[in-house]
Amino acid sequence: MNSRFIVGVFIIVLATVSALAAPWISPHSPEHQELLSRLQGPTGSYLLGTDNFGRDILSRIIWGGRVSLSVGLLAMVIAVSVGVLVGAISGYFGRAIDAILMRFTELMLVFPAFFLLILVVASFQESVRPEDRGMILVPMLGLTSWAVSARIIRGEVLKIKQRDYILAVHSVGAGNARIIMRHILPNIVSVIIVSATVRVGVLILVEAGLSFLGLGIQQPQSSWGNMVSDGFPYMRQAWWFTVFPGLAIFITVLGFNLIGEGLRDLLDPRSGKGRAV
Amino acid sequence: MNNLEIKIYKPNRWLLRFIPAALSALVFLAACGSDDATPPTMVPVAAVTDTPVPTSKVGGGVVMSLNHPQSLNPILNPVSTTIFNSPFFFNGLTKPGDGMEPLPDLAEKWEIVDKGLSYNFYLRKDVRWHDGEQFTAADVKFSWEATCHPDNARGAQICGFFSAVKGAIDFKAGNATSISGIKTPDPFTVQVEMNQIFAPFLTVSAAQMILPEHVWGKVAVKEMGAHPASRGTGTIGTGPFKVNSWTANEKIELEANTDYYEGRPNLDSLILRQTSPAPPAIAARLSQLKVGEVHAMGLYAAVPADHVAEIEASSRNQIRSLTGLANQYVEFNLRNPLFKDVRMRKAISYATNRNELKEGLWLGKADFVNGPIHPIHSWAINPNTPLFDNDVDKAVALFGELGWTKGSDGILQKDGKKLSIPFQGCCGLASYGPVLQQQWKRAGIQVELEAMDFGSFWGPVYLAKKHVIAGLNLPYGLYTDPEYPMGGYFTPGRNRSGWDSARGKELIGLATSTSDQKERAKYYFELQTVMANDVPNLWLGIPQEHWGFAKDLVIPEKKTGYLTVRTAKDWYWKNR
Amino acid sequence: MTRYWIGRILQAIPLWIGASILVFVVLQIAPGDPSVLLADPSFLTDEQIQELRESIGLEDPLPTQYMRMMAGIFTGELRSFRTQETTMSMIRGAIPTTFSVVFVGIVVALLLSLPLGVAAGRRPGSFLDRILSAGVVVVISFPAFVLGIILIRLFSEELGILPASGIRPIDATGYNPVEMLPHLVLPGLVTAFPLIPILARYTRDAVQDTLAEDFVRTAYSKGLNEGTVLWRHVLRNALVPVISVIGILIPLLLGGAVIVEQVFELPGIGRITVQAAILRDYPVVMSTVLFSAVLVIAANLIVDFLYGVVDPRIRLR
Repeated sequence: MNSRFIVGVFIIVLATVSALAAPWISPHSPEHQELLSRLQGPTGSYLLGTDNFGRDILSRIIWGGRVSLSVGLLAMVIAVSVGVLVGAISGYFGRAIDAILMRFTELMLVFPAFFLLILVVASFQESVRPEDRGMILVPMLGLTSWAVSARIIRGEVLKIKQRDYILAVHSVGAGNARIIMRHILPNIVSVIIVSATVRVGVLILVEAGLSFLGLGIQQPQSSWGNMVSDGFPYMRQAWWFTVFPGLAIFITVLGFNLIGEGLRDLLDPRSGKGRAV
Repeated sequence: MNNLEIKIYKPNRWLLRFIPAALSALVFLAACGSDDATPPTMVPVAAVTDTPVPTSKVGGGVVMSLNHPQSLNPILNPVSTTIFNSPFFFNGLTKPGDGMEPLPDLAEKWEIVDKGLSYNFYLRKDVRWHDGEQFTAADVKFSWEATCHPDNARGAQICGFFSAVKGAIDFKAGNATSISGIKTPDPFTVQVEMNQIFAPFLTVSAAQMILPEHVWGKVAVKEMGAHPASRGTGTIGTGPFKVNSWTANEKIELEANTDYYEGRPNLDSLILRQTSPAPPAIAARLSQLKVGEVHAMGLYAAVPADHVAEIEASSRNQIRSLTGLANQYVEFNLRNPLFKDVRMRKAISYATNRNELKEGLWLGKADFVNGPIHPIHSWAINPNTPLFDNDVDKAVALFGELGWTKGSDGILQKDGKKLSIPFQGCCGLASYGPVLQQQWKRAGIQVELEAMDFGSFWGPVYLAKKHVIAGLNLPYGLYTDPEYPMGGYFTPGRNRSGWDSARGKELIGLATSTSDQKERAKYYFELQTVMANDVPNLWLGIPQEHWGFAKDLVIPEKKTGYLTVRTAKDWYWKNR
Repeated sequence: MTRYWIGRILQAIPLWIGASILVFVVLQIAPGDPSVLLADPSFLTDEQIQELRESIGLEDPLPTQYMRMMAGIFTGELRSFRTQETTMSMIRGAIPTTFSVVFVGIVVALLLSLPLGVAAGRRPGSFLDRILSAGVVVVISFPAFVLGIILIRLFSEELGILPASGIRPIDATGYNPVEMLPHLVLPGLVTAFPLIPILARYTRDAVQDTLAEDFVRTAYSKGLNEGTVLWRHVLRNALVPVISVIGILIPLLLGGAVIVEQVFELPGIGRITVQAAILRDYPVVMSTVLFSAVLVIAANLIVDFLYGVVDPRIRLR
């Protein structure tokens, strides 16, 4: 077991548990304002200080974590599912299907995803209640980031397709679906998993970026991104307002990346290759 | 008007001692006769300052952080950002004085005939356009007609202020080739004939910016927006500054008009630096001010209340706190069965603690008016209207009368349904929304805050009348007459809230039907009482607007940001 | 050969058209009426609101609106709903800003990542290599916009040695690189930041692989010293994957430009896009997105071409 993996797991378990246990471990309600205690530094009752509304930053980080983590994880599921589907089908069947799907994938890659996200998120915001806003973000994030995974999966599928035993199974008359499910996918599971964990990290950063711009999760719901954004003007007088949510983002994403790295080393030690995507 | 380009993201604070502007109003009233005979009444000629400006004042440039307008053609573009920007390079026949009373600008004097059924404007003869051409009455007629031109779809709202002019409606409908009621008997006289008295004509209509006929006369109205002169190339006006260039999204460069008829501006140049509404921009602006990259910021770019102390502590800058730009308020959708009964609205008003908002949110720096009129129109403000404020017991009692009782979770319920109200809004809702949410919870109301961006809120929610409770703020500080926002926001039959008081509608109409300010005041007073009793809106307060600017920059003191920005000609650097 | 490239370019066209349709569809599905943002409809009658909508063509059938927008893009006459400036002129005005920032970002990233990568790749498993690996993970995980905030606070407000915002001195009339340099430092750093770990890692892997190749051993056995080997043989080969990565990174760079431009208030394409999206200025959004698509496609083609130049084995595919 290498150390990266362990550290990463530790971080993520910590983050997930606090997110799940938010209603119990959060010292205050994240929305409760104490206007007289605004912009206070860390104290006994406000371990990480208060924001400009006198709300407890620690509580908002914990609750914000629920949003950021769930958005990241769910979006990843969508991205990886679509990516595996497209990549596997494209790589396996080849020729026309491959050409069409790959053109489509290129289209998605060509699109500066961030622009598309800004566009969609800015456009669709109104019809959704704040608590449900994540529901728009999740599919959008997922649908704009499957292309990279698709390409990787396709590459792997192409490699495996050539192997003898696949040809053998094929000649015995096994159906395509069966071959894909039973023989090909299990061999690329490691690639899928590594890709998935790295993807979560990326998606969390993207969501944070969008919220930072004011386009993702909106006030008064907290997400780490919009906390950083709100805290930005107060850097001098209340640095804790920006720094702690920023650290939360950093540590969580780091955790996922460490897991990804660790898994890569574990499952495929030959490939000391870094692939940051 | 709408707060189009930017939201007031963090409300401002700082209570300015409020000096009634009655003085100027009194002078005006004294000058007007109010008897049965109708001799034309004269207004004194504007004093032209002949004293030469001391040379030490002249020179230097200022960088000001400001939202850029959509276009430099105010006729096409009558939204708030245009209203701030256009006085730098254009003039109207009148301009607002310290109490928003009309002062001579391009018109050196005027006569009010028949109490306002007709006006005679006598234009200055010494005004030249930036390209040297003489300003004449033909420019006035042209500009006013372009405003009401049938092809001017965007300018239609300003045309509303000319609709009482004879022939304007026909012209707008395309049934006439000009507005018959606007006559120019000689190059320096404009005569206006009205169908009925329209009191804001001098303060609003005549204050509209005049454009040069010799530049625009041959351009089809439909093509005006795309014309380079709307975009900073060849933009010709009469104002104290000339437009040098406009680099989109970055800056508008202005230089002094040394031939300006009131005397050249002290500054040699003025750069209007674009700023944006996105959250990161607030910090960016503050940084710029602190390091001296920007020398002035106010209006929509004003310093948020939280940062006033920080800027004041800096050796480089100073803060001036002015009566705020916007009246923050909450509007009920009275079509919603929940709000049909006035007791419900009163109860929610009782649940609101305006003082806590003022102290907690705006740090004590805000004004309050219980009505849709900005404090600058002090003559029209009724100080004695009923205000239902901060009494949770009364609120609960009223809810009880309506059948709502508190459940075990403290939330009111009736027939098994909880009192859960969606509260929609954009700009600013993120600031006062959570406070209200908490206040109303004490009375048992559960609020779902739905803060969205301007584009998502304004059209699909508010204008579509789909809101339940909407959080709004309108830039009243720009309006030169109390009538301005009425048509769009409050007049029964035209408003979005569904408030349908017949007396209210009558009063709004009556208030513009006489030029006598005392009479107008009577109507506005009663209007505020009617509205206060009906509670279609909850007025929350007018947070102060904090101007940040360089310590060595001398800026005349005015009550509001809008009036301050109009003094740019007189700004100068001391210690040069 | 030329046929191949012509073929590639031609293939890009349907791709681009596909992108345009995608954007257009999204814009149409999205709620929000652009006309209400042009003038305050509270003051307008219903007919006037209708006229306003007609004046920007919103009442026409969708295919007509699409064709009109595309035609406008090709003739350069497509105009913003809001300001009625041509989108081409808006983009043209924003290009110097975005390009300078991206360019400086790439240069800084390469300057920092290449030496690191080479040093680490030479001695895999060494202390330096391990630090690099750890550093890569840390840097990838750090949100760039937080970095930007911290840098502004430090270098601009506290130390006062770099400007807080803008792409050039406020009274500048042209885009003079010398004048712009201080303004590009911080945005360049923030842009380079997410690239450095990726490029460093790719370089390291490429160097490590290349060093293991036979021809390198041959070079050594011929007596060439390490420096020459690295420079003349290894780097050329290692650059291949690095260049290909830059191609993939261009969309990321453009996306990152959005945040950098907001934080530093730079009048670039990202800023225009965000504002246009928020204000439903459809023509501007269409134009900037399609423009970025062109950039990305072009960047990928150039990268593939360079690939062929650098490594003759790949030239014929």
